[in-house]
Amino acid sequence: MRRRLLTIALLLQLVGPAAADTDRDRARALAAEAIRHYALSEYEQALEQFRELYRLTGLPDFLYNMAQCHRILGDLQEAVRKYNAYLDAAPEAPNREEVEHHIDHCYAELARRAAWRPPTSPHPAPSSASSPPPPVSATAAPSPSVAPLHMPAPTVRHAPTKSHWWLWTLGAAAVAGGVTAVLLTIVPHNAPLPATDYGPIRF
Amino acid sequence: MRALLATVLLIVGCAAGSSTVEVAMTSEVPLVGIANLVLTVENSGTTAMTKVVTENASIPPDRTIALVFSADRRGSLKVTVDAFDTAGKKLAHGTGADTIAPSRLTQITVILESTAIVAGDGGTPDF
Repeated sequence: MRRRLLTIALLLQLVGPAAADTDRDRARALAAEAIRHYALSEYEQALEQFRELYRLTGLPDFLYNMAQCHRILGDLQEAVRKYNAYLDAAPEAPNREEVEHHIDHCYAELARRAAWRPPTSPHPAPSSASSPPPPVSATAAPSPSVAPLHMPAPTVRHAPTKSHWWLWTLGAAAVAGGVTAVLLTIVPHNAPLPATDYGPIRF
Repeated sequence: MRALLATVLLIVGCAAGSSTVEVAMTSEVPLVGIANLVLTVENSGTTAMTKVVTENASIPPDRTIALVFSADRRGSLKVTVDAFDTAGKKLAHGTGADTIAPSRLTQITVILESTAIVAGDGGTPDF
């Protein structure tokens, strides 16, 4: 992601001096600012600026950047829309596989959220949602009846590490397999040497 | 990924290594006083000979010897075994053949047939 953002920045820097029109200068400045926001995890601001950059330049890469921001911010439906828009605009994108992986992940996370149900409280919930909350005492332990009914959804940003353990496992297996294949290719596989009365005699 | 790995392995295969031939020497008649065995090996038009000191061995029991060939050796292999006593008299002779290939263990059985001649008076009965 960072590389892609930098690529865009470099692109804008390269074309900037040659065609120093107002839009390009503005895009260049915006891109630098958006990258800074993104690096500082200020995704809302980065998203706005990537949106503006897409309006200015029409470069599909900014759709991808917007999708990344949406995904990180937890707006998975919008992220999927932007990812798909990016793939439509850049069907030969070099990171197509990665984008498709993000889309799959978003769908899986959306399905998981849809399937999730809050745990049922052992005590009945208040009959009226508009009823005033019970008085809070500084020393009293919180009552189960005022326990939050909705758990906060886990942030999407951390989901890939947790939910894609199998990807790491597959990667490790692939690396191990590759090393094994290389070793099998490089190291000669000699015939076994049986236990004999005499020898071995080498020719 | 596994399919890819399997394909790669099938394509590249394993690196060729040395081949081994286990020669088992047997005899239908008892052979005693074998001082050494001379093995003659023929492969791809090349002949090599080696002598193994056995120090008064006997057959039976069957005796085995391992021959190791470099990875570039392949094809038909003929092994000739001659057994000699301490006086240098040939006691037995036998041959065996098979095909060798890199990284493969091959077993060849050589049946030694006695070639000893009757010494002395040719078997004239003593009176």
